Amino acid sequence: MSAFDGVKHRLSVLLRGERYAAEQERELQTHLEFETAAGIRSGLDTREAEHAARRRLGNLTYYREETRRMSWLRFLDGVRQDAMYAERSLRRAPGFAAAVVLTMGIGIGVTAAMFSFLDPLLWDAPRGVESPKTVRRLYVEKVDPQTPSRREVQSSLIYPEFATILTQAGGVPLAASTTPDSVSVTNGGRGSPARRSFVTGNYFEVLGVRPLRGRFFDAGESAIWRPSPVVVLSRGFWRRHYADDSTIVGKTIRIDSRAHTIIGVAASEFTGVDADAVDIWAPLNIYPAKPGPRGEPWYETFNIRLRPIVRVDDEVKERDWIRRSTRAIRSVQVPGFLSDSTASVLPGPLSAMRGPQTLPQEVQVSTRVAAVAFLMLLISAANVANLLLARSTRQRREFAMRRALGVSRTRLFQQVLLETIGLMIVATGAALVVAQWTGRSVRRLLLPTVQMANPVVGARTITFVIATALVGSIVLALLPAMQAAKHDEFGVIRAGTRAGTYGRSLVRDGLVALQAGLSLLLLIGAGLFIQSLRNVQRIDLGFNADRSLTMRPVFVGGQDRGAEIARAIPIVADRLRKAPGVEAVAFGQAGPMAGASFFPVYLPGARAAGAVGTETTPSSVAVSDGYFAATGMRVLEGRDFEPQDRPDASVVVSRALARSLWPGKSAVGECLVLERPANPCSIVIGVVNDVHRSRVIEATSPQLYRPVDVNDHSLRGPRQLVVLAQAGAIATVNRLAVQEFQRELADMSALSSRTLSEATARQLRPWRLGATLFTAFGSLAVFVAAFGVYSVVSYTVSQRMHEMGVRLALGGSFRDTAAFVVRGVSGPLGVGVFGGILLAFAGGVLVESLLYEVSAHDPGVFVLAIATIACVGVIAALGPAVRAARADPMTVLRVQ
Amino acid sequence: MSPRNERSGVVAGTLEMLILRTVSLRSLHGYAIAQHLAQVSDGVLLVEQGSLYPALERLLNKGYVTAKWAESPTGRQARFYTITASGRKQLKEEFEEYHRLSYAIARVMGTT
Repeated sequence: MSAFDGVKHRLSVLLRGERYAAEQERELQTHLEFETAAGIRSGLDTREAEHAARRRLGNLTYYREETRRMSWLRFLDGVRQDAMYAERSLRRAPGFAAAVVLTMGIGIGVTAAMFSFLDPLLWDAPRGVESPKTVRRLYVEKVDPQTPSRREVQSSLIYPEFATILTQAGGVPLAASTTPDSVSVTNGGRGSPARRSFVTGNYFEVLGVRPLRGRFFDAGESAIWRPSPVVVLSRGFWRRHYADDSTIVGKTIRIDSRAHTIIGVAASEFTGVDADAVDIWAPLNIYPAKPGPRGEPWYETFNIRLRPIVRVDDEVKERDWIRRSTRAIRSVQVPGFLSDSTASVLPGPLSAMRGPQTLPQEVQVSTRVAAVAFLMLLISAANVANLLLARSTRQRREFAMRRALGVSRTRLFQQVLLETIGLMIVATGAALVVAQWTGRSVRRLLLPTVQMANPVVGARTITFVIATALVGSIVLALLPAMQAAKHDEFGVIRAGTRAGTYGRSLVRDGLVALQAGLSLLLLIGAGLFIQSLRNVQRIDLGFNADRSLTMRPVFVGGQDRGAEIARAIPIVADRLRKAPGVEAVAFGQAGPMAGASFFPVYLPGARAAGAVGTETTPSSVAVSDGYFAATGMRVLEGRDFEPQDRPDASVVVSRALARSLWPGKSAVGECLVLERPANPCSIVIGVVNDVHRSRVIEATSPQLYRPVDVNDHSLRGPRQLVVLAQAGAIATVNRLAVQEFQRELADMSALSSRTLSEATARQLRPWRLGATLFTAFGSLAVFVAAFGVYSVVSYTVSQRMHEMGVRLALGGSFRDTAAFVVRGVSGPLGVGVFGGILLAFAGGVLVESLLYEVSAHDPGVFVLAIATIACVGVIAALGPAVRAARADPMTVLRVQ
Repeated sequence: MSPRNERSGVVAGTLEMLILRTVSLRSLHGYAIAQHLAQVSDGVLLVEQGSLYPALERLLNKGYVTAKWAESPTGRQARFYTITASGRKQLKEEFEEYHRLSYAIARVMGTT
């Protein structure tokens, strides 16, 4: 290993330092002795021989210097010296150091937090999967049942579709899993929450995951007709709940109070194929059965949604298989399920967020927020660059002096670089703290229901932070170093103490402009999201969203208890009617925006008024009398239902339905035939306002209401209770309702009760998130930028004190002087604002799709944001300006 | 040409090649290397120690030789330099290059 010999030698010189020098000394001594001995042999006397030998040995110091230079010793010596020098000089400027560390810490930390959030969603392949590139997720493109003119990409299949593809396409390993649900796990004592996913028997095999302990599901356990309560645990869950117990296999675990046998533990890193980490995998055949409307088992209905994956390593094979599975999915026929002969199967990468499906709005918002975080980083960097520039200007004289003393430019640059790196190392620590804290908040805010597997600050995030800091320090160190290198040292020294005073710097002004522009961009973003949120919140859903409660009894395991519920609900309704705090009570198939049925309706003479699968199909809800009062809807014409109204004899229609069926005349008294053309007439007895069916943002749709049949135990019978509570009485009403329901349904596990505002809060989240995050980052950016302006102005002022002194001495007024200083910074601010406006105009398209009823170029928002930046800029500059104007000219001039 | 003035005529790279060639025969200490060069060149190549030791240090840094303290034939402790495998390879390359060059020069000078 002779290449290694050289390195070994250098290292030994480096590490042994003085000892190596001594060794060289000894070697030269030996040489002298040999030489002297030779001289004596040739007839010289001892003194002469020694003298001659020493003369021939030449310049010893040169030799020692050469040796040091050749090893890396000299370089390291220099680095050590420079590092110590940098440390000393930073100690003398603690304010400067703190400002740099804080600004960079925030900038890098916030960006790192967003990186750690998006990394597992968008870039990092799921861990623990063998060659993830050959695993495909399957999507189905279909007609959107809500709006048939549109097609939508679905990421899940119902079991009949899955089974059809499995049997008809074949030839390629196909597996599937369900979206994880939250369950309660009891392991001896108290229960704790866990995430469970149901999977097909070959799931682990297809993904190439190996068991760490025990085994995975066998053919018997995955057979659909032989349910066996067995589970596989994740490595993390095993550690957290069983402390790596090696006798885990065969033990019993209670999930939602049912006993399951643990048969294995999955290999370490595997937590499922999504960012949402799974703790427990169970075979699909023990999916808690919710029978279909006609009592079919779950696997024949569309209760369960499966997300399929396949492993294919050959492109041709993949194309063939996709073609076969498309053919298979078009042939699926399930009663009550819209079959689609135009459906097609699309393959996508294993990372769900990169698939053909539209990204969830939260993720869309978070990509924008990541861009915002990056802007934050730029603003911080611009700020730090400005601080460093100011500092280097102050150090100009010192640098010039050292240059004149023969210190090389490289050495000076090295020193500036070391100073910046030192600051960045501390900033990296600060950034990791910020990333940890922000990252946790961002996760809680953006995906509260998802338990992300990767740590908030993991190896990839740390690498990201260090890489950013390193690149940052080199770039940031270049600016002042270049500036320092530009100067003619003798000119600077000759200029005396006032050297290193103010000279207008294009770079410095540019950095102020950059900060102003980017902050403006963030403020505009915040404004647009706040405006959107307000617009969405203002949407009238057609109900009393704050006081109308929808209640629904819940049973363990989701069993269907239709008959008991249908019996209990009218009784509870009667009792609550007389209770304090209750304004109105009604019941029906569903409360506001909580469900509906779809069937065709006809006008007399069998004229179809809208067929299933078209947008004119009205949605229908079976309701009791008083429903409109209890939900806060308004009867516009005719009357509400009364107790004596028989089911199917009378209907109430929405305004939109009335207008489309009987344009230009009153609908009251008209005849409408429901479901089948041969059915008898139902008379329209009233018209109510249009309401939203399922989403906060949706087009107006036709709706109809029919009297509920209290003896109907199907999904169209009495299923939900609607109570209009008096203001402030919601908690009391809820408590009463729970008591009353418990009297009737002894084994009810909970009463789900919520207002429409609570139910729709989830839908408002994207705008709320956008508004919150843009405002948070925007304020932070404005703060950082304000600090930047402040530091630049106060630095300028301190450098121009002499000029100020002269101005004041010549009779300049306080106002003039202050205005003069503020004017100095208004130029760069103006340029920045102008640039920011241009950027905001250009970048508008990126957020346009996420806004609601506000243009990305909304003038009001723009004006407000510009005004904010201008005010903040002036306020930030005012402090130092006043300080300048208040200065005593005599003192200033004497000091200068 | 006086041999004393010759040291400046030895280019650094050439000196390293000569040293490598010398230690390729057997391990030698610094004085012996200088003696060998002077003797073999009939006193033409007289290397000053001021150049010899930096050259040896460069060879050590490149990993072409290693150094070890051992007893010299006269019983004195001295630092012996030994050529390494990569040193031999380097020597071979430089030797070929030198041959090519000197042959070319000889052709131009009309001596072959």
